[in-house]
Amino acid sequence: MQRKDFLGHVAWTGAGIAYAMSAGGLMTGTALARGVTGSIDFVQISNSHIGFHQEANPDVSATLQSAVNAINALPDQPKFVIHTGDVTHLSKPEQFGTAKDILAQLRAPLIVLPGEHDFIGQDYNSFFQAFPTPKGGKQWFSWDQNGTHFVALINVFDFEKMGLLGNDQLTWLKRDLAAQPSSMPIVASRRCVLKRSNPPTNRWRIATASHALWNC
Amino acid sequence: MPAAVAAAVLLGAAAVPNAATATTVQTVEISGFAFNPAVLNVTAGDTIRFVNHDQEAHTVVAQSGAFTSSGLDTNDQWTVRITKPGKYPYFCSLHPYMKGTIVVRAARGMH
Ligand SMILES: [Cu+2]
Repeated sequence: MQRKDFLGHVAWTGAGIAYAMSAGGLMTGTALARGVTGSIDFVQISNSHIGFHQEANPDVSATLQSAVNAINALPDQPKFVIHTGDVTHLSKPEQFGTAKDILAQLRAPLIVLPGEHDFIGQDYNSFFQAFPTPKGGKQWFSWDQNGTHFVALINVFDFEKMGLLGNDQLTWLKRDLAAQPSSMPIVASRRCVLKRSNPPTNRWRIATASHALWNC
Repeated sequence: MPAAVAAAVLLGAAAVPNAATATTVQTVEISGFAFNPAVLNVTAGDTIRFVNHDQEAHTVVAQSGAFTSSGLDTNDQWTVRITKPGKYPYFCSLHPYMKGTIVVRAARGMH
C-alpha cells in the first residue's frame, strides 16, 4: 500500500476541520466552513478558549456553539469529533462547565484532549472531571476505527519542557504501536498550538506504521 | 471583565521577624510576553505582585514548585509573599520561554 506521511498544521477559524482517510491511506483535511462532500472519518476542533473575551473574539462560546451546530448539520455524521486542547482559557470551573454544555450537544462521539490552558495551576483534575477519558483512568489512550489506529497523547503535563511527552507516555506508546500490524495506518493526535503571537510549539502529525514519530 | 484575581500565597516555614511592620510590596509587570523586571531583588517577607498587562493570559510558576499562580487574565494580578531567602526562578506555564527570577535576601537580623 502506498502511503504518504501527512503533516498538517491547520489554522482553525471557527468551524472545525473534517478528515477523511482515503483508500491509499492518506489522510486529508478540509475546513468545514468550505463545505464538505463525501464521507468524513472525524472532525477536529481546537483552541476554543472558553472564557476568552478580548477583541480577537469577544464571544468564544458562540463560536464553539456554531462549530457544534455545523458539525451536527452534517448529513453523514463523523465517526467522532476530537477537540485538541485549550478547551478553556483559564481552567476555571465555569469555563469547563460552559465548554462541557456546548460540546455535549454533539451528535457524534466526543474526545477531548487537554491543552496547557486546561492545566493552569498544575490542576489536572478539573479537566479530567469535565472530560473523562473513554476508559477512565489512563490519560492517554488509543483506539481503532475502521482500520485506522488512533493514538491520543498529552504533551502539556510538564509544559516548561515545551511539549515533551515524558517517559511513561513514550514507553506506553512504543508498546502500543509495536502491537499494530504494519499495514495499519496510524494517526497520532496531539493538541496543536494555534496562537496568534506564539511560535508554534507542536503540530499535528501522523506517524507512519513503521512507528516513526516526529519531534518538534 | 472578570474581577481581578487577588490570591496570596505564604511561603516558607520561617516566621517573619517584626511581623507587625507593614510588608513591602514589589511589582513585576507582565507585558509583551515578558516579566519586568526579569530579575527582582526583594527582602524576605516582601510581597511580590504580578500584574498582567497583556491581552494574552499568563501564569507565574516557580521552577521548584514553590509557587503556582492562577491564570492571570488581562489586568489580573496575583501576589506571593516569600519568607525564605533564596533564588526563585519562575516561568509562565502557557509560554515557557517567558522566564524571570526573584532573589530573596534575608531580612535584617534574620541570620
Ligand atoms: Cu505567558
